[in-house]
Amino acid sequence: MAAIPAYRNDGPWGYVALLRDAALNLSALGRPAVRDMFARQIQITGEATLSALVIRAAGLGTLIIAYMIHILSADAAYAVRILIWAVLREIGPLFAAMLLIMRSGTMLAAEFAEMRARGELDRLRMMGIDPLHYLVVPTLAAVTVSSIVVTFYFQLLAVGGGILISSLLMDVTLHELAEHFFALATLSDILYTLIKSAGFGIGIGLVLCVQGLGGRSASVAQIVSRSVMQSIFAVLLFNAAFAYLVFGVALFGIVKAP
Amino acid sequence: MNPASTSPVVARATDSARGTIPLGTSLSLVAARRPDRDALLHFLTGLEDELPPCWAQSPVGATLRALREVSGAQVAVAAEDGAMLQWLDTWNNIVLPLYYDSPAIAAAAEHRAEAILLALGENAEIFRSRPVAALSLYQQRLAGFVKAMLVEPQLLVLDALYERLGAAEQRQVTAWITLFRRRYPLRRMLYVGLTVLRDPELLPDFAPLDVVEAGT
Repeated sequence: MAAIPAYRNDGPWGYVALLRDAALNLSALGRPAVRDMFARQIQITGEATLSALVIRAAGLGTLIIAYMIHILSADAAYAVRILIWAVLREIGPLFAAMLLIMRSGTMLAAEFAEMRARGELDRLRMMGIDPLHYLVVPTLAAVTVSSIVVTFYFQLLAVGGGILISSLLMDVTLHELAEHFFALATLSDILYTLIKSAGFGIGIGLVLCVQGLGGRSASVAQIVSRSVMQSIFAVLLFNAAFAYLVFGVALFGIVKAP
Repeated sequence: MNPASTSPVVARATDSARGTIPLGTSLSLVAARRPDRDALLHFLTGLEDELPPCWAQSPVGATLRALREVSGAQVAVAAEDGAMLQWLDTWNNIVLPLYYDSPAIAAAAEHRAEAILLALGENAEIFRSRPVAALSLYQQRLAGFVKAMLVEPQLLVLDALYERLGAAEQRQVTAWITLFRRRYPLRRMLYVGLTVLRDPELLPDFAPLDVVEAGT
């Protein structure tokens, strides 16, 4: 039964080790007590973020279409193509991850830091309950699932809301925009989003667990601040690495595949 | 002050490095410093392999090692603050160790928890309805005691249960300990705290192991 702080002491490799151990212990989700914790973490991470999305997502979709049609004088097909590229592939997963970090990541990091400060991790271990099984596995799973769900929900609202509001406000029909969307969107867009949002979720979850549960003696505020900054860094790092793997280009073309 | 060297209990236990600490033994140990107490609880529950330095080299250390050895992994701590987890409600805290292992066992444990509280003249409804934060210190300790008792440990560690309580509540704590002893006459108990030093008459059946005060 390893103590969580041990992972933090290993630096970047600690994150890898924690991911490996969590993956090897995914079967812990079979325990009802762990599933209860998973449901609780889903509630914290998912619900809190979803409620913050509606206006922001629809507003973003409308803004992209309006910008393309009015400012860049693009036709409806081109505007929808940009909407798909921006919302489905890039901004959607990133925006959802940032909201997840700000809305729920902060709450979880603070809660974990308080748990640790109250000695509750040791209490669990004294009861024979491994925090890796009871806290880390359900948290990683919940943040990953939430990241995927929040991303798809964001995309639905951004694309659907954007198309709907644009058709009401601009000289373009709902039918025209929707037709272009279904003609241009592909399964690979969905797959791309799925992998990306899952990667973001795993990265955020790992940072929250390592910093929140395994942080050195620091105030809750410090741990929350550190968790937010490292989560953002993890998301951007994964984004760059994923772009490099898929397109052979990362960091706006600074890094290119040989 | 080191009564350990002459205590027959310690002598028996030290001998018992070859054998065991007798079944049904009740011991008490004074630990004034919180870090020492925490380290001792970690040692007894298997989280740490080393005893705190104040006991490591003494005959008491040998007794504590033997105690851990004969109890195996079946050690439960009735903690000073109940060792409650704030994110769970009180009742789920009480049954968590069993629920974690098996929900089927936990269902039966809920009835046993109610029976224990009834036997102690306490109202189980309080623990079903109130969150942990709304419990008094006495109620938190009682919840922690019931939680520890439910797992039927080979060794029950009583972590400063008498301290910071009024006389009437202390009498109730004695009733808890008596109930455990009556139900599990062959299990071992260890009281850790200052009570042994201040009010030895509260624990007449507990053989004192040693006195370790702050800074010694």
